[in-house]
Amino acid sequence: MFNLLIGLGIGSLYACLGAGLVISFKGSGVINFAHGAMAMYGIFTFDRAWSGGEFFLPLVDFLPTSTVNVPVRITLSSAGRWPMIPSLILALLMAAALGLAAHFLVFRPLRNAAPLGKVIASLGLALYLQGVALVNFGTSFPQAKSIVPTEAVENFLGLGKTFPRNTIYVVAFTILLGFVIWAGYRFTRFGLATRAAAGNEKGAVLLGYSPQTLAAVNWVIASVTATLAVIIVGPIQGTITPVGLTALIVPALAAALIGGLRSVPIAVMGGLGLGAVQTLLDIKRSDWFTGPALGWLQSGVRNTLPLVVIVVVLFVRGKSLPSRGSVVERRLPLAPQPKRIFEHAFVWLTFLVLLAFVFENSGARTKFANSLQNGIVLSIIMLSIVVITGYTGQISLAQMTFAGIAAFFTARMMADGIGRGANLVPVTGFGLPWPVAGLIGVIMAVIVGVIIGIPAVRIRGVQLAVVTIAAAIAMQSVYFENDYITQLRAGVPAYIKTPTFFGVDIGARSARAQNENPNFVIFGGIVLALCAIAVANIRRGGVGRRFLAIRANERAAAAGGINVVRTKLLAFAISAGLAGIGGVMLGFKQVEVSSANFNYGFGLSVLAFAYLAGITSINGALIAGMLLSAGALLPTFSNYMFAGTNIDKYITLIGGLAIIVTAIANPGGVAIFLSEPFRHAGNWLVSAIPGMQTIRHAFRGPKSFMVRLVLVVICVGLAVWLRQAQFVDNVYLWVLISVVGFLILGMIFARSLDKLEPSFAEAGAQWNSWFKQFGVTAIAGYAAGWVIWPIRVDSYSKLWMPIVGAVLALFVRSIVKPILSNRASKTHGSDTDSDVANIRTEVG
Amino acid sequence: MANVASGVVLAVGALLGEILRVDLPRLISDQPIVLKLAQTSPLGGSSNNIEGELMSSHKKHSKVLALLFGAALVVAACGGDDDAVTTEAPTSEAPTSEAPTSEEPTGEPFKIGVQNLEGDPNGSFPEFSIAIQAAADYVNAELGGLGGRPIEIVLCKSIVSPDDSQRCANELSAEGVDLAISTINFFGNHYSIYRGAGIPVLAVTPITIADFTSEGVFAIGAGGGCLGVHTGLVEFATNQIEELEGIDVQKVAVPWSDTPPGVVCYNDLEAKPLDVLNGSEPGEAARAGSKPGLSHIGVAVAPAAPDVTAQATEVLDFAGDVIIFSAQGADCWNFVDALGRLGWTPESTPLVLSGACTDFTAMAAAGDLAKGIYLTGTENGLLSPLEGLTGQHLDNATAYQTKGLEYGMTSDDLFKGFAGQGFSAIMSIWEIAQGIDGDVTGQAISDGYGNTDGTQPSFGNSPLNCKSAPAPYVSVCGSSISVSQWDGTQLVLVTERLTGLDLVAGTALRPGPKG
Repeated sequence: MFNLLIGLGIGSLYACLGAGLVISFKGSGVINFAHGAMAMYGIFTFDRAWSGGEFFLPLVDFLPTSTVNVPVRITLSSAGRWPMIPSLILALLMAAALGLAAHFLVFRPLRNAAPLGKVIASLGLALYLQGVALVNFGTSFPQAKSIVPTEAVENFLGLGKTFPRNTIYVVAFTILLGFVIWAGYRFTRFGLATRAAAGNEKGAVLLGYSPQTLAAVNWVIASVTATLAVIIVGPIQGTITPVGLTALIVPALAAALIGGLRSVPIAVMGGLGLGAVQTLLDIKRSDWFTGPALGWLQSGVRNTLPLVVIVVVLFVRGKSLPSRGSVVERRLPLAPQPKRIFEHAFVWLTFLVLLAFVFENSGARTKFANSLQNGIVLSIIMLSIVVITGYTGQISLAQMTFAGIAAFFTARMMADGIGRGANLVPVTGFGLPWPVAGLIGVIMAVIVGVIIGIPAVRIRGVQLAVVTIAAAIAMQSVYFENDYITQLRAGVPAYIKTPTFFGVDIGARSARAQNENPNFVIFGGIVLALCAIAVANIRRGGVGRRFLAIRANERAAAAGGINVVRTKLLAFAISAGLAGIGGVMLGFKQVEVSSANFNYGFGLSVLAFAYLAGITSINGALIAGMLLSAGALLPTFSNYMFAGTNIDKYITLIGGLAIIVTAIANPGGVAIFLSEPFRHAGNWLVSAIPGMQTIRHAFRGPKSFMVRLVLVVICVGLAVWLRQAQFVDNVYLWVLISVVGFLILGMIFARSLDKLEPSFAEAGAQWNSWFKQFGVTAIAGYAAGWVIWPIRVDSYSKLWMPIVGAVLALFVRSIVKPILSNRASKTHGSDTDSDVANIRTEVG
Repeated sequence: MANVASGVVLAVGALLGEILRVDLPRLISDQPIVLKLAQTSPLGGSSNNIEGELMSSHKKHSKVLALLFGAALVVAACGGDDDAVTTEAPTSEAPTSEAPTSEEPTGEPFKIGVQNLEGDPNGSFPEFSIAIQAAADYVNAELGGLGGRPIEIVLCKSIVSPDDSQRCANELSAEGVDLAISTINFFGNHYSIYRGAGIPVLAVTPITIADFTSEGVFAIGAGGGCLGVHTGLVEFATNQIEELEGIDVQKVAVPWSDTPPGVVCYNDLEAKPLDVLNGSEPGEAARAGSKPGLSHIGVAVAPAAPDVTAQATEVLDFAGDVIIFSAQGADCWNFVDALGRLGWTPESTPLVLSGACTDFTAMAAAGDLAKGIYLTGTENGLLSPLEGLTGQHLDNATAYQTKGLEYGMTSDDLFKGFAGQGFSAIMSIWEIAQGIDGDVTGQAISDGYGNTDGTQPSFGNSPLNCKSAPAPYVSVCGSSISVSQWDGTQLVLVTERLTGLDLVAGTALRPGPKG
């Protein structure tokens, strides 16, 4: 009994946050993943005012001047402290302002967006607030002071034990809060209107209520109650950090779901109960969960409970849960049918080879190699998101979990009872070779993917997101950190032995132990290419069409004869398999993988990046993985270019803003902007390299695939042979020789098939034409690079900096020109000939 | 948009928290510290003057940063700043605020790579790199560099991610640094890369098991990390405390940090020596088997856990004679708070915390609950008020507190534990370089550390003894600690030096639970 009661303290926190989630959902149909972050800013405001006499607006002073500043910091008291009550009022006003801002700036523009867009925007909002908190409040986060008595109560209820008095107060407050909210929604006109709008937005409009006004007020109420609750209840969890409160979103979601996303009192009771049972399990786990049958549960039982609650509630009440509809709901962005893969592959290869030379010349070979390795691995994982979310419309936040399962299984299958790396504990295993171990890992990922996908049979959208994030969190402690199963406790890394292929080291590390082994890039590149081709074929085939049909309308799909259950599970299986392949490759790249690699937070990040780049296209996945993600090419390049600046301070909030803007203004992601340049560049390359069109058009269907596969195998084999024979020491000279070799080989092959098409003359004409069209831009960029170069004092050479300038100029042109032509065509009253319209017409 | 994407990854990764199951220590302090800057100037001048000076310095610093930021956005230019001005020969004496200046270092720069967490909501400690740069500037300007070679700091800012940890190691290795400094790193997966590149590494804040067991790594910070601290905690809690508190310790409650290093450190360096003391584990220590009735309980405490009431309940239910807890920053005080809410007081059961728990803000906030708690530390801490200090301790603290400000640190930076550790690291390298005959290279510095035997003083630290590091803790360069008691306003030294290393001597490694 005592052990249950003692858990009511943390249960209060779940309950209050869960109640806030219910309010914001009723008001606007958004499950607000930023709810904890908003409360965090509120309690920081309170603490800083009360303890420091300062007030920070949720902005940053980004202007690099000391004379013109963005007002951010306001001194309330020179004495360094402000009275508690005004501080509390100030924090609640801040919460209200944040609620309004969240509504009007983020969620109102997204009122008709697909659920995924709202989820992504709430993640962006959370990021923004975390970033602002980091800049404004620093990293010395407050140990929030309790405003209720904290002393102990002896022999509480005659149980013979001491009980924290503040738990009594916070539980009372929580119940009171729940009652007040319930009464407010039950007995006031506003509450009735909100409930009406939640039930039927069109009906509310007909009755004269503005759903958006109601939503705004509900956002304010949710934000204010969350802040008030966290100020009163929050100190029970010790230090408040920007991410700490956000971490409670899953149990809070469980509480909200217990309340059916409708009932605040039931959500409050659910939260209290959840906290109580969790604490009881925590205390008794070593007594209750013993022996081979249950011992494995000791590690993860606490974090599994919210998952169990969520799954049970959704399974039992899934159909009756409200799906807060809006008047109009936009679909996910179009999922274009992959075309011209040959050309796209050419563009990517050209781009990467050029970049390789730039990095090599700048003395940053290892940086480039490492980022390329990262990009390949992440691209594979991003492809898994394209399948499950982009094509099938299922929001899965567990992709990194699938990757982790495959990586951990691979490690275990390869283990041989010897402690390696940072792990002194020997891990037993089967000592299997990497292909077998990797395959088993991927199969396990598929199995777990299907199991986690089972709830998707009954639910979809945001509710599925909730299940998958809860599953991801549970897997963290149930599997990754469970020494009972993995022999790796608390995040101890798993060691993955270096893969070899016929004696050739294809692991990521070079002889000097740096992540720069080109063989891994070839290995990973082949795996990525095969995965991308597989996804393209899925999209083009019947399976892809079934996926899209389900994405568009499950009932219509079922009516059309599609087995929705089987198709959804197939999507989960394929997606988990792809993520698993990515996980195995990550293991090979990183050698030691730990639970931190596959944390659900990173699952969110890959989803956000996939969305930012374009979640419905293969190109989007490649852009997200190769260019945008952490450790990929763009961050590496920008790290290099902006070395020495303090811009990293603003990274989080800029990222959050970028995600919000994408969700609102450009759901298609970056890929939309780049699709035309890619198409043009691909077409141009094929027409500017002698013989490429011959190869391009020589074969159709499976035969084409086989011929190209043979060509690739010959080329790769040649490259590896060149490398192993060590004819050239310089890696990038080797790349250059290999590429030139490929081209000559291609020309010879094309000539053997037919005449060279394009011929040398035609190819030359293409180069000439290109220069006429882009020459001015390229020269201008080159000149800019030449001017900027002397300003830099590092190893960037006079040769490459101008070339980088030219490439950047062309890149900017490729983005700006379609926008300008689009505007121009709109000005003329027609958009039928705009680039974007062309794309949509083509794929629609 | 520098590093925007990586920032997003880290921050979204941070989203919904509890990401890395490791704590984000705010202050890992190595010495009793009193935060009384306003009343007691470390410079000996009036506090008002100092504050004014600091404010002015801070404003100038802000302006410079702002201008830098703006300029960088436009031209992305960067460059070094080696304006060393020295006149006298280097000295092997411990530097003080009035240390004689040396000849300007003119040799090839000695590149020190610094891998530090910055810009991540999960953990960002810019004070480390600021202090390291300040110390490097000081060494270059006044102490003649390292054997005539100016120090060049190559900073790699990292986020809290295993991938990024390796990325930085790759990049710094590619830069060809002579030596690397690893500040706080939660993964320890970067050492193999440095080792492959032949680059020695100083682990300034050792917390992962790799920090203690990697070849080519010298764990010089935080009292030797868990080897010194955990065995020291056991030694103190079963020996010295009996006299201090007038108790006979027969039951020890050991909440422990449930992190990768925490697992090994608890099992091998707390549970095992306790078993040595009660005789259930054979050992070579003189006190082995001296407490046959000694029992203990281990309670895993996950870092950054939202609520540790369950763990606190378990600890109190055990009714131990003493509680020892080695964690970091906020986790310690979160646990203390939970204990307090359940009626525990330091008077009822003595509590001994590791030095990493030292957090004056939290201690002040905890009020009477913190009064009487014991904390471990190291000798010669840099953050101590200068009053009452003598000898090397006074010299080191004075040098740090004056030169740090002089070379770009703000007062805020100065009194952060990590800043002291960063400054100490560079000064320690300088000290090692002073003892090198011939060229100062990365290998020579590595050899210098490898030959330390506990006889040479170390700036801001206990004497280093890398030579005697026992297997498998081959990286650990120190094992002696001090213990102080918080009296409500300051830490009072109660045991100047102790070691519990002998409690694990001759025992088999126990990285996991006792079989």
